[in-house]
Formats: sequence, structure tokens, C-alpha cells
Amino acid sequence: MKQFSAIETLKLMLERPNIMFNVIKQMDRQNERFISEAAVALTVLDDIKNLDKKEQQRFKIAYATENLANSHIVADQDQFDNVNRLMFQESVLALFRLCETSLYQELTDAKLKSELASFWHIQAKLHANDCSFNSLDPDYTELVEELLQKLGSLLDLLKRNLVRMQNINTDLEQLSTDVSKNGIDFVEYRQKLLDDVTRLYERHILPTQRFVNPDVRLVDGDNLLATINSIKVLFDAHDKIELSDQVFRYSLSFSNIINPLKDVANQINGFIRKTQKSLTQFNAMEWHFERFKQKYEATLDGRVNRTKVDSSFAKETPFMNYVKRIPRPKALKIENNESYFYNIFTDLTYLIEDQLLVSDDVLAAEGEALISFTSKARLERARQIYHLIEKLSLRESKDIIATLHYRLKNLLPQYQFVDLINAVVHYRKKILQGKHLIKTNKKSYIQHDNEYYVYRVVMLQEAT
Amino acid sequence: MEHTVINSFEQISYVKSAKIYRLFSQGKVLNKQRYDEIHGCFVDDDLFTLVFNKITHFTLFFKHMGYELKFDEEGDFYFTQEMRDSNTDEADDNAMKIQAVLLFIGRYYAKAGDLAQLADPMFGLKEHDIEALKQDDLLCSSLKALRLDNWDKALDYLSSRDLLFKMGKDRYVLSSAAMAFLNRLITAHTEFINK
Repeated sequence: MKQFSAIETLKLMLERPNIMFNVIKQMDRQNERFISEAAVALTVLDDIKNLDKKEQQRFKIAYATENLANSHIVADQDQFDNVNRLMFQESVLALFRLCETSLYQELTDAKLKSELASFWHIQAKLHANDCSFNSLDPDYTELVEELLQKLGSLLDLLKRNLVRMQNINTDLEQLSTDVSKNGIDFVEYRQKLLDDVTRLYERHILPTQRFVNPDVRLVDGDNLLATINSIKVLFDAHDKIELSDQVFRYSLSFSNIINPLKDVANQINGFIRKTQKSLTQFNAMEWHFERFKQKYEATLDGRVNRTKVDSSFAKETPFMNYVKRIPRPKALKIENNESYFYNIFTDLTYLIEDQLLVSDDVLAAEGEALISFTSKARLERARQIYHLIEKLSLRESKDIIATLHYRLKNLLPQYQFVDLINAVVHYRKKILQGKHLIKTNKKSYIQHDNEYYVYRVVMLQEAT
Repeated sequence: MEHTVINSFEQISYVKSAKIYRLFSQGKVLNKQRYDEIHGCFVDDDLFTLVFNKITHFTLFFKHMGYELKFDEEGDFYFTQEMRDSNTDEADDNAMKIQAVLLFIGRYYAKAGDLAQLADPMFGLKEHDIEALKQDDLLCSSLKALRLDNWDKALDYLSSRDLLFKMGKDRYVLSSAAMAFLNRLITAHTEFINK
């Protein structure tokens, strides 16, 4: 059976991230690190059911247990109650959690305590009399490595948790949607809401807040910042300036987390004191903002040129739709300066030249050529237009196509739009007479015989 | 018969009429009340009263210009819409910008206070509120995705349409038209929940 490399498999998994999001949600709900093969397969099938056969096949191959195991995306498998269960690599799960804030795992009190305990352990080892502080001693270097790795991963953990908490408004909105329901007993409802919010606060926010608070006293040891600081002092005492600097910078980052956390706590505080009316307002605003955010997030997809929010959001609520400025009549631009008159006079000269061309009977073939539409006759007419355009004088212009259109319209009997195309193509290829054409991204249109022709504006400039 | 028709143009001051035309040509709304800087409170807008009293005249006048004059009952304000449904892209973008920025303001305010205060000159949007809005990175990048460079531009955009009135440096109050939108959002949400 066809298999994919680890990169290819990951690419496919990321292509439809909802599959993994749902898998992670299922595992989190059951608080397990294993998930049954069948559950994964069901999630995959459900997500890809609207794709065409070939696409479906790709995802089926990618998520086949054998492929997942061979590309090391699944770390382990076991049999439980005759069910084959998969354990995904922690790093793969972490990658998907990173892409979806709601999947960040909350830091519980127990998890934070165990992090802190490992710092105490390092602190104790550094304080011990037999610690050499010699960079040639492998025991010491390993300890330093462990310390830096722990600091890095803890900061990462706290930062992600902070992002999760800053989205607290969505949580609060979800807790309190019922307030907008008709005929609700607000007093009773409020009590229940208070309980929910308090639980949210105590279980998820308070522990982290206490963890990074420099003033907290703990029974069995120093708090986080004090522990880190004592390690820094130790390094200082042994002239390990660089290490002490690094540790110090980490402690700054940790203490910086406390301010945004305080904001989160303040938001909850404000939320608890809300009246029914303001709670309704709060929920409505959060709900609509979520709607907007979906439109905004659509601009963050892979398409580089998509940076503008789609305006369909505004259509759902009738307000200020189809309102725009009324364009004012434009004034005719007549100026009194040399270049303006120069342009007028060259235009006049060209017009006279054009008329002379026609009176010379340059264009023998009249419009019949076009009406008969045989290829020979068409060629003949095109050849004559080439002839004509080679004799025309053109000055610098901001829109050479429009200029040619109006000139040819007067010159050619039974002028057709194809004539203009012929002329432009020929002019561009053959005769630039030291001038050059600049294509722009502006579009404009010409009306001819009740048809509108849209074209890209091309400028003609003197070469400098 | 022609001479017996009373010409409504003669009954209306052309100075005021020109003001009204200019106002709508700038894409503004005409609120029943405008903020009076000298007295620091809302006063009735005499242009609104004029349009209200001579509504047949002004409706016809704008119809001849190719626009429809509309009245929003909830927000007590007039606005114009183009009658031919040609290129509406610009108009859609305008509505999107206006609705999104008002939503941002409403969402911010609803966290701490009662939205009604936004339309009260005693409260309104103050310097520290604007400062807090500017601090929100998500909102700032959203503004860019709406093609509004920053909060100053966004607030200018709303006040150039008389949805906000400027009371002082970094102090604004919402017009009744803007409040009508926020109330409409709340109604839409309540309807969604009770569906």
C-alpha cells in the first residue's frame, strides 16, 4: 500500500486541521493520551466526506495506522479491550494545539507545582557543596542545560496559557448566553453564573497568577521568582556572568506575565458586577465580534493578496448599506501655462495631419472589408491600418489606448473595435520612435457602438 | 395649469437646501440631533427639521438626482442610497468599515459600562478608552484589514459621516444613528438566542 513520508503526512494533516483538532478534543474530553483507531477513522471520514474520490484517497492513506506509525507521527499503539489504540507524538499534538487557541491545555495547580519542584531540585543541586561550577565538569554542564531547557519550556507554557486566558471574554459569553432568553429569572440565574465564573477563576486563572506573583509565600520552598533569583545570585558569585544574565532575562519575562494576568482578573471582576441589561449587551457584542473575527481570520489564509475583510459581514445587519458619496460634477481643466498650450497645439497639428492622411486616400479599402469578414479582406484591412498607424504622430499620453481610439474613430470609415486592437498591437511591436510604453494596473473602459470595452491603461512616455 | 402648481423650491431656503445636499453628498447621515460644542449637549438639528417638514419635496429632489432619501425610525436619522444598483463595491466597503468600527467600540464599552452612556455627552468615548482600544493588537490589525490605517483614521471616518461627534481632543459621543446600529446588534443576538 502507498505510504507517505513524515513531512508529506504532516502536510496533509495540516491541510485539513479540523481532523486533528477534533481528535485532540476527544482525547482531552476523556483525559486520555490514547485514542482508538476507529475514532480517528470516523473523524477522518466525517471530515473528508465532501471531497472528491481522489482527494479522499490521499487522506485515507495519510491517516492509515500503518502510515502514521511508519512516519513516527504515532508514537505508540496498544490493545485495550480488543480495541487498537493510538498514541500520537506529543510534539505533533503540540503543533496542532499551537494552531488553535481553544486547544491549549490549561495549567492546573498540580502541573505548576511540579514545574516549581524541578526548579527547587536544580537549586538544591547548585547549592550543594560538591557543585563544581566548572564548565569542564559534565555533571555541572548537564545541570545548566537542564535549567535552561526548563526555563524555556516553562515560559512557553505560561505564554500559551496567557493567550488562552486573554480570550476569556468568549468563555464568559458562552457561560452567560442564557441571559438573553425570554422569561429568565435573573436573580436565580445570576447565582448560578457567579458559581460558574468563580470556578473558572479559581481553577484556571488564580493558580497561574499565584505562580508568577513575586510576593507569594509557599510552605515548602521559595516562590518561582525567588528561586530563579537565588540561582542567578549563585551564578554571579561564581563569575558566570553570561549565565546569570540569561537567567535574569527569563525572570524578567516571567514577571512580565503578571500584568496581562491582572487585566484578565479585572475583566472577570467587571463581569461579575454586571446587571442583566449590561450582560445582554456584553453577550451581544461578543457574539457579533466572534462573527467579525471569523471574517477577519479568513484574511489570514495562504493567499498572499487577500488582506481585506470580506464585506458580507455588513449585509447581515441592515445599517448604512448602499450608502456612498454622491460624486460631484467635475470641472473642465483649462490652464494658462506653456505645457498646456503646447499639448493643445500638438493635438491640433496631429488632427490636421490625420485629415491630410485621409484626403490622400491612404485607406482605399472601406468598411466592406469588415462586413464581408473573409480572412483575406480582414488581412488587407489590417495591413492598411498598419500603414496608417506608421504615419500617425503620437505625443506623450497617460492613456495611449484611449488616444488611439478617438483618433482612429475619426480616420477610419466604419471603424470597429478590432481596428483599435490591430493598431495598438502593431504600434507596440513596430514603431515606438524612441518612446516607451508603460503598462499600469489601472483599468478603464471605452464605449463604442453601445458596447463597453474594458482595457488596461497603457502610458506612452518619451524615453529619457 | 402649469402656473397654478406651487413650486416647492421657492418655499425652501436654497442655502439650507444646498447644505443638506452637501451633507448627503459627503456620505453623511442626518441625525435628528447634533452635538452642540458651545453648550456641550445635543440640540435639534434644524436641517433635520426642515427635511422632516418638507419630506415630499426632498424625497422628490433626491429622486431626480438618482438617489433615494430614507428615514430610519429607530435611530431618527435620514440617509441616501443610490437608486441604480451599479457598482456597489464602494458602498459595501463603507458599510463594512462603519459597522466593524462601531462594533469594536461597542464591544469595548460593554465590558465595563452601559452602552447607553456612549451617546451621553457626560460620558462618551474618552481619552483612556481610545488609548485602550489602540492597545488591542487584534483590533489594530483588523482595522488594517478593513483598509483603515489606525484608530485615529477610524474615528475620523465615523465622525466624517456624523456617526460620532467630536467633543474635544480624543473625546467623542455617538450619534443616535450609531446607537441604532448597536441596538440592532443586540436585537439580532436576542433573536438568535430565542430562535
